[in-house]
Amino acid sequence: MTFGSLLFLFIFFPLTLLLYNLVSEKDRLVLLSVMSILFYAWGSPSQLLVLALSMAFNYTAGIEIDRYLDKGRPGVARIALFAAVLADVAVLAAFKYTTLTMPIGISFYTFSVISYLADIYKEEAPAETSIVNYILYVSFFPKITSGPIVRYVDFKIQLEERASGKSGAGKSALGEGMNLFLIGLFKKVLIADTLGAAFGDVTGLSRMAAGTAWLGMIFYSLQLYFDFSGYSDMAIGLARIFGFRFDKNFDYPYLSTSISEFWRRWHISLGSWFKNYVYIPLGGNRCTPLRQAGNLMAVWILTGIWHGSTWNYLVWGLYHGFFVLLEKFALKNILERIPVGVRVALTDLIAMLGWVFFFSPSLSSAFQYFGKMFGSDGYGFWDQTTSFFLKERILLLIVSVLLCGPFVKNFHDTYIYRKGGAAKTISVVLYAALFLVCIAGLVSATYTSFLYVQF
Amino acid sequence: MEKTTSRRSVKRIARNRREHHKKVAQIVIGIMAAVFVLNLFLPSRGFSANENRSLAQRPKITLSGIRDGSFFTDFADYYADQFLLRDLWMSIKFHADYLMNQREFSGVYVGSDGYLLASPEKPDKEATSKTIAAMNAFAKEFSDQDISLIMVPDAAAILPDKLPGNAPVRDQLSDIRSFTMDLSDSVRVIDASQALKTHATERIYYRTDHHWTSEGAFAVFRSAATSLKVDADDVKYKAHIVSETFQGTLASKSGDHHRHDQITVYEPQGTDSLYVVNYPDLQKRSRSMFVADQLDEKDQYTVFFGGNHPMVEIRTTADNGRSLLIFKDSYANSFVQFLTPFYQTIIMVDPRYYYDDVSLVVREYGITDILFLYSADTLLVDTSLADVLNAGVEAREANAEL
Repeated sequence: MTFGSLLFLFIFFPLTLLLYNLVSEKDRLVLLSVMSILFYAWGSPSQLLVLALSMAFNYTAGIEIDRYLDKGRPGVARIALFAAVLADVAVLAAFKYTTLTMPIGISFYTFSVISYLADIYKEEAPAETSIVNYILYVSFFPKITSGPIVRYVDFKIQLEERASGKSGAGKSALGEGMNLFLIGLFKKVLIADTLGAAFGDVTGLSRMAAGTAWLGMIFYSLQLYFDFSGYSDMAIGLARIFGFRFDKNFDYPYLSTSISEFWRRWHISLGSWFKNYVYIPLGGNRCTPLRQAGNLMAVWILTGIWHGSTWNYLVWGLYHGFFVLLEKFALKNILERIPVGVRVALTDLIAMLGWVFFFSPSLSSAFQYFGKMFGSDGYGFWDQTTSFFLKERILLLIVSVLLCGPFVKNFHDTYIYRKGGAAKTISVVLYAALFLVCIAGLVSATYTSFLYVQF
Repeated sequence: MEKTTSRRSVKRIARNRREHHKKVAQIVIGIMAAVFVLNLFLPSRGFSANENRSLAQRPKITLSGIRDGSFFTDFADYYADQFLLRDLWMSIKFHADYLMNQREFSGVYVGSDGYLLASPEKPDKEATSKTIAAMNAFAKEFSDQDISLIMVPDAAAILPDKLPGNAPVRDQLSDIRSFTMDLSDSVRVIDASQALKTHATERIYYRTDHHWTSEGAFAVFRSAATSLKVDADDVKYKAHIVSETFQGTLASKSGDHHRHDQITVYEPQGTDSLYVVNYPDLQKRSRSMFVADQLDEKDQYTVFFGGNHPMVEIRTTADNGRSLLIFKDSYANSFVQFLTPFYQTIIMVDPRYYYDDVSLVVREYGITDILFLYSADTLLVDTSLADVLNAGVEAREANAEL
């Protein structure tokens, strides 16, 4: 099940919210765990088996590591940690590199359990004794399918606050959470899905002018951002509604002035995870520049293959790693002298070109697409199709680009909340109207258009 | 003074924010709850007129369905298909997209003047070369008969000014030329595009459907009459408007339900124009090719012959010994209304549904004229015509050897 679906919005979510408000606080965690299991099982009950086995294995491993630490045997604890992590990664790799259908969210929850084991080993938190708490951490439905990747420590602290009656979410949790959830829903259904249709129009052409190929790349780059950040917003919003605070996962990445900065703004929880559990343990930047470069490259290789099992993802990872290294070691002083606007444009260009590796099914088709972007199809730079696509999507592009920065949000927050009164009402009505258009979008998505071509 | 004001305004901003969020949450959760409850009690619909298809029904819960996940996808389809006010949501989506300047919806262009125009199909090279070869072989084998071809272009090819600006459509007239170029001289190619272009300001295509109108068919008939060796001036036709509420395939496909079309039928005047239609597949006969009951159905174009049949046999009071065999798609259904005064027998064969021996038909009915009447869209990707023609040629050759 996904958040942007009719079943979630009109059955699962209202039901969960209702039950959540009916039961007492001490039963809420159990409720959320049960609903999370149901959420995960929907669509493919067999993948629940994999999750259950993984959870059981890591639960036991966590307890074992804790026990060895208590007995003063950190060496054995270390071995247990590596063995368990190896097993988890092996399972992930097995699904990635064989023809077995990959269970949904396995890339995310594998990283969650590794975080769990590592935090126990580093003695930042004890192994979880409450099964409900543990199940909730691993399979909490807002984050299980696509993150954000929440560190065990951060989750544990909030669990303890709840247990001691100090609800970290606050009284305005429902309002704040719903607001963020809706923003995410608008991003996903209204912006990302439409950009996806535009991108589909481009890739549906067997041959195209160079300009059309560039447009396609831009459509995809925007779609990916709004889809992923929209989903993260929904996840964080939902978590908030149910009493948990997650950190934001995107911070206007297309405003970055360097690729290094890009990765502090794009999929933040993944970057943090790699920093905490790979880069720093390898030595981070407290070693020779050569070693540092090696550590960085290791992180980028892993980042690439985490995203996908084909060569194009590995190349994509190396591509970004190359630019990060370049910025860190070669361009350090030059960068500061380049005007900000140019840096943003260059960073966006590098990132967008990188996404070509993302949307191409293979390395060769990625290079084929690069070829198209420089006229290899022989249709010139710009033709009628390019004009048509641009004309059809120009409003969408303008809106999307505007929303890549905080301009709209700041304007809305400053103007609407400062003025109050009529402006506030208009804004409320606008949100409701956009929600209705989202429903329209979701209902239409099931509009099969091939069933009635009658000859 | 400055500090207190800004602290007060900070508090006010925070309070406005909280109230805004609370109100939005209340409204949205209210909508979710209302939809949740209403969907539970709403009775299921069977057929969607707008989308021209049957809607999914509640799937049965089976162990295998749960195991392989098919139950969950079926349930999601069912929930969406039966969602309350589905047609209203589709309409909202259409208007929202149109507002955002989208002009192409599922292969249909929303043009000016209320016109919906289908994007012409890309020809299938393999299929067309087989069709051309089959037609040439057929023409050679049946050299006693007079053989003609009319390929009708799409609205997008004849009314390009109605397309939204810059719409990238194929040059279908050029596709038609490439096709007809390779036909042997025994197949007389009758150009339909000239007549249609001349009458472009009249309603020659439906606004909401991919077919030509009776007016368009009439224009092509009049210009083709000489080639078909009929004297069109001999007959007067009376036009009857049988519907003003036709909404065709392009409306369903695009989601644009703004316009309705008028359907006109033409009745030849004079005693030579009585006929009987025989539908072998339905074991039914009729005094008229217009099936009035079909006007109550969604696809009102089926007022012509009730739709497509493998074979239709028409016997008329025209006493001239001419027998016409038409290989067709649905475009011919609204063309035959002009032909009844000129042929004693008209046999319509739709190769997509026809499995018999067409050489037998030629022999039994003493066929004198053969007409291939197709929309370019169909013929440029069709494979069934070649099959039927080749079977006919083989059968004839086999018979000749006996």
